[in-house]
Amino acid sequence: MDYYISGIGFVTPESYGCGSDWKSFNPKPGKISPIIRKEVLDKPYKPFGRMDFFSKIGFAGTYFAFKDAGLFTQELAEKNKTSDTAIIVSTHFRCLETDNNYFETIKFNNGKNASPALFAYALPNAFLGEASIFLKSTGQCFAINEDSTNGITALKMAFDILDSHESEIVICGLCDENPPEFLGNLLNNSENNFSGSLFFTISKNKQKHNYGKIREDETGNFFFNQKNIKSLPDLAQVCIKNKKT
Amino acid sequence: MRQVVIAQTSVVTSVGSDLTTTFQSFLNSQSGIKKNDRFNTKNYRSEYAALIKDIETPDNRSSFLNLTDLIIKQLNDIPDDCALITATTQACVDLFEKNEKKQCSLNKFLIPSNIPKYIAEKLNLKNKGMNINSACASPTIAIIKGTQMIKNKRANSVLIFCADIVSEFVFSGFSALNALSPVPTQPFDIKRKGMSLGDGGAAILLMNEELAKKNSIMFNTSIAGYGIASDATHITAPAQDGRGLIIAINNALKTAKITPDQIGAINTHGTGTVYNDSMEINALKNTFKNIKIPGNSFKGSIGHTLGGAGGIEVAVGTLMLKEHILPGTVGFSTPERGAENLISSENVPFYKDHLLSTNSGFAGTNAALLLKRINC
Repeated sequence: MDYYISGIGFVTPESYGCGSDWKSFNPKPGKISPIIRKEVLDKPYKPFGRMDFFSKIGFAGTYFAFKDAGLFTQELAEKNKTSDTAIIVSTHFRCLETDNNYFETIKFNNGKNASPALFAYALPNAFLGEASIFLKSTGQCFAINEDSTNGITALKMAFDILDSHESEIVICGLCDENPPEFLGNLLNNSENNFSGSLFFTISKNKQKHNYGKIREDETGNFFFNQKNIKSLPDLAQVCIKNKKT
Repeated sequence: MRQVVIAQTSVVTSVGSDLTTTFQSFLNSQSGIKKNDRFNTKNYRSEYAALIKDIETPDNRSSFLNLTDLIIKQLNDIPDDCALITATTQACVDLFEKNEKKQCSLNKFLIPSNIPKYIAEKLNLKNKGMNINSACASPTIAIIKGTQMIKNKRANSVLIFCADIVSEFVFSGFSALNALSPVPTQPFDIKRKGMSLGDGGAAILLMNEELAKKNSIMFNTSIAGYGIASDATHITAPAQDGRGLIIAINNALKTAKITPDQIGAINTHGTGTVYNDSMEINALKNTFKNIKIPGNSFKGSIGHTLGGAGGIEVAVGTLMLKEHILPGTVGFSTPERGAENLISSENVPFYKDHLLSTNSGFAGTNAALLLKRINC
């Protein structure tokens, strides 16, 4: 079975935006800079300002991927039309930095200063809710955490959703902020090597804009235009490098 | 198309150390919600929670792992090629508190992928598994994804593990959001004031029906239908018209290929918050119109066990289908408008073959499962 990749969105230590705006994708480990609303959205959008850092980079990645596919239209923004688009994210550290920040608010005064605003984002699926509101998608949204950080499981789950006709379009990808410093030496053994967010818009039907086709063979290997793909950053690299300008 | 059956279950709650005692406690209207002495609650909206005392020791590690051990030790003969999906919202988040009290230091179990790894190692599973997080709908979504893995031939069996504990981290958060009830929770009651939190969890072994039969495993329940949907309205409050839950239930009916009149009972999410319960009433009224289907909530008995809830509900659902009875809702007495023909404090017999189980959560997530009674 073939699936079309119609959009790519990312926020990495070096850059951010839609796949079609870039000539290459070579993310390197590093610290992600704070991202502000104007770098993501043209118009003011209050919820963006109150999101935690993890949610901001996740939200930005999903939005860029949807926009890159040509699916974020003015009509969608203005009308009350919803879609069944699903959003899946694979994350290694979840929003641990936000968890830690929230815990700081309850450490003193026996929890009297607990922050409801931080608690609301102390779940890795919080930004999926934000994205579903902004993209007006009522499809399924969930986060997965696994030992491997290549994002391939999220891709498999996206294919399953498309195959079972639960959604026509799935946005799936990776999101991990800078490794949480408070974990100290626990990070030494971490296999996580991707900081930022990277999302793909995938469908069974060809969209107006598309990078090419991806398929899974019977042994569970993934191929994009015949090239074997081992991770989502690999996939983005090939898609962006080979795109028709 | 492969059929997926529930081959084995394990449950630990504040009212029972296994599935049978938990179910019996539900039938006897017992409640595990008591004064919370795990941490100081003086600045919080509630002093109540449904705690499992056995998980508090040893206290030099997360109580979540102690709960995990109690749940998985009840499992027998899990196939070593079984896939594994865990569902927990905050898992070992109590490590922050224990670290502050110098009981233990922050450790690898704060990183969520270490939870399925821990279970896989304990059970000698080849697959290191993954965790699914979609707030309080996590366990139901995990069961749905496990079912799909079997149907799509990605696995022959999938172990679903779901649990959460009462931590000060979570307790304080829900308190700050004014979601905790100052009295033990009263789901669907007109006087309800919020939720009570609870410790609890379950493990559910899903299996391809043919494999279960081949291995002479006794089972009485299959996963007949499922649906997942988002509200797309607010990240902490449910859509009051129940739009996401309506889509999830309709998709469950569609995949099960049944009509609403074939459902015998509904095990609702029923957290006891003003907004959640009224949302569910609206969604169920909209979906089932004039068809009267009895419903209940377990939250008045064991509190809201978050990532454990949907798993406990499905495990208990297998006994509800087997015994043809829907336990009454503890804490409920005067119905909220619209809940008159839905919720009862009494146990209600039902004889139809399908049980609907639903969960909703933060970020506007909703999931619905249709369990089917089968004769084996």
